[in-house]
Amino acid sequence: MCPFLSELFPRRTRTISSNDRRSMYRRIEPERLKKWLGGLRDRVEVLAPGKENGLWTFRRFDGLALPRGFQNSRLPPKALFLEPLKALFEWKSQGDSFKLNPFPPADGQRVIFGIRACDARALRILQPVFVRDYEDAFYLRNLSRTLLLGEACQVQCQGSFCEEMGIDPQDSGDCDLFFREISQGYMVKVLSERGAALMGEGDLFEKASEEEWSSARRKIRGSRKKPFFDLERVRARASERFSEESLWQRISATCINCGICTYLCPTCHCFDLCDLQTPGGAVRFRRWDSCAFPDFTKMAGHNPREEKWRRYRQRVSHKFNFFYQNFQAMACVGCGRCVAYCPVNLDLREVLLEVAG
Amino acid sequence: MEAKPGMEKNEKGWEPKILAFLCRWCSYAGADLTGSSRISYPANVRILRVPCSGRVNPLFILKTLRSGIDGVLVSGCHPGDCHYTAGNYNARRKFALLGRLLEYVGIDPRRVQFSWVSASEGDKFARVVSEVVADVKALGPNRLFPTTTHR
Amino acid sequence: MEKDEMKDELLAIAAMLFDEGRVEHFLGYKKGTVKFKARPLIARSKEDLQDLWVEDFFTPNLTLYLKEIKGRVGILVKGCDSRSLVSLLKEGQVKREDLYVVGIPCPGQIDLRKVENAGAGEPEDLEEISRRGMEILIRASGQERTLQKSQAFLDKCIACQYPKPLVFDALLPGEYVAPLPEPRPPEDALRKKTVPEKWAFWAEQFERCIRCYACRNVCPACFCPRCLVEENLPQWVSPLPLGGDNFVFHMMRMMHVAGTCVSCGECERVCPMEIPLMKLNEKMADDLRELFDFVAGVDLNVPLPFRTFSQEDANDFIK
Repeated sequence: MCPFLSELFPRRTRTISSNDRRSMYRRIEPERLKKWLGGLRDRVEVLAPGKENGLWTFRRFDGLALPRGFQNSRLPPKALFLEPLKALFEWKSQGDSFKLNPFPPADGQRVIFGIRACDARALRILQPVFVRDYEDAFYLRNLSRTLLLGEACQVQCQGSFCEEMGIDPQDSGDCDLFFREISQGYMVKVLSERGAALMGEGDLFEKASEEEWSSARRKIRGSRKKPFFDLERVRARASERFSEESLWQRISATCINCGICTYLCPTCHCFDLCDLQTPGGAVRFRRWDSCAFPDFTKMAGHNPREEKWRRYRQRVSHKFNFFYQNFQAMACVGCGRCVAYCPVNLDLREVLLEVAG
Repeated sequence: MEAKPGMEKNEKGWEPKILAFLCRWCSYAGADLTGSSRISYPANVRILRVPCSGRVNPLFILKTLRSGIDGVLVSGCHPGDCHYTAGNYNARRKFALLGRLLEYVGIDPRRVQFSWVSASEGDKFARVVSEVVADVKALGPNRLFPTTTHR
Repeated sequence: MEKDEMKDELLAIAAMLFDEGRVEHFLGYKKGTVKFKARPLIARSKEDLQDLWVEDFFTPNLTLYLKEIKGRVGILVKGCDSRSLVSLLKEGQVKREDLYVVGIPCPGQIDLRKVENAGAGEPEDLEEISRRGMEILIRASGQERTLQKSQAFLDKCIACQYPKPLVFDALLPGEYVAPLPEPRPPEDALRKKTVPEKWAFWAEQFERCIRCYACRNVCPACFCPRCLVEENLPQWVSPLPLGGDNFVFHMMRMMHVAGTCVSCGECERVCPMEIPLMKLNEKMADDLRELFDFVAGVDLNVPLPFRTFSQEDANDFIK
């Protein structure tokens, strides 16, 4: 339905061409995978799913054990690329003048193991946002210094609708390597030169065939038999339903205007700039912001989205209409976090079904 | 002894910085009396005059701590003597709760202290400040937050 | 069956309220789209009532919507929710004559986090939760386990002392008894720790806050039209999610809701980072009881703690 972003915005690393198909697949045993990931830590930062304060997050891999029982992280991996809080520069007064000290973007190669297809796609969806009008050095550096080692899902996350959004939870073109767990270990699909180089020489990874890869596809536990809604209908009807005030008022009635859906969303990217005063100067920070907040569009003398229903209408319209018009991609990957963690269980899937009408 | 500029130094010979909210009618006048009586007291305290101890919003105390200042003193009129009749009674309730909440969260109560000092108690003010400074000095610099707006 | 009887009576009451033009809105529950959740239902007409669902998991505190829905409202409350109502009445945020309050008997609410931590695994692994007397039966990943109510319920339900609504116009049929025969206030091991240990704990918690404001927005006691943190002329609290500014935000929120907060627990339930906010609320509630003999949301005639004072108030902490 919507063309894959990779066609419009080429990824920065060269992908493996179809001529190399024979070298595209590998197999690895769990112990060897653990050893390989552990060994990578000598050269790069290795992030993998782990529990911190009771929440799944991507943290430094300890080399002791592969993550078990991981569905998805609470905060999306976007937090590693577009940080919730980022110091951009500082200035300090110097006599009559001042000295400006920009903070450099983060450095150091890293890999993220276990990222899901939805979250990996989200990173690609966000990419044009940070290159079109200006180049955001921080986001782009984070992208270029990170390899994505994705992993196929085996369970449907509560509230999720990735397949409705055109994402295959068990396959991803947005990662450098993609893993599918099998009974004796993992099948690996090699998707980029960088990914191939990372695997290195040696015999940890065994060559495998496309047939083996294909047969490693599982039935997803808890998956729905039929789609919740038709994305094409949503896109077709989104514009005309924009002006139906009563629809949006009714749909958004229980929303409490917190920022959970925005902050937990892998594709939301609004931010605010804010200065923190220090002795004789200040530091400018970038922080996450949410269009759900009442003051988001407050400006001198006017707030065009004073009412809650306007903000909710904007949120849905931005993701499923305006962003699509600007970037030819939906600003949503159906990860389900907004559905699972909304304090009042305002279900975006129901909203989309109704908009599709 | 007069306050010398640059009295606050780094670790060696570090001197705490205390912010004192003094009510205009009693405690501030009392502090003034300390000075005019030529009674010595530590120069670590910075005075912020408020109309009444009841004017002190818990937010002021929290922001003071957040900014990196080492200690807070709030001082007002003795119960029954408030110029605005009941301001200090309201303050007493607020600070009773705030003090307990701060301690529960892990901020040593010696960093945030309260007193009743009347306009004639110049000597008491000096004594209170000395005690507070000694307490905060023993606690060490305020390192509660890595990013501070003050130091 | 008891549940159907309750639902039918609720439907009858709500329908009557709309038919007789006595309310413009009715606040109730409908089934969640995520397992083991009921969610708020804001009915604006009799037709909207067809989604009413009160079988189980009706945890949310509906009084929060009284902040924005004005006029005549019908509302469904559990015992704990009714305390929020009492608080809001005392604070002058609602008028009693605008409300039609329907009480619902609550068997105690399940704490899904406790259930998941008791070995059930991820939320997706939970298949079934059912009740049997003092036990909660859980099936997860095909395996069955049994938890006692005291292991599976929200802390506030284990400590419940007000199972019957304190204000109501109608009570739905059922037993209004506390889930545990002897309510047990939650134990907080943190209170016995040293001051530096407490700071080590809370400093980390404040670092984790992402300032989504769900705790504030879901709280019925937070009814300010413009919150302290939204003010930027002047900026009282930086909006940056730095530990220090999060500290100021949460501490100020506690001080602002002191006396109105009834420990309904919603703040902690909705926090996406699972910060144990109820520890702060419970400490505050205990302090208010000790210092001023005050319990929030119980007696309409007792003045709010900071609207009054006594000559005998604690003075020993003041030099």
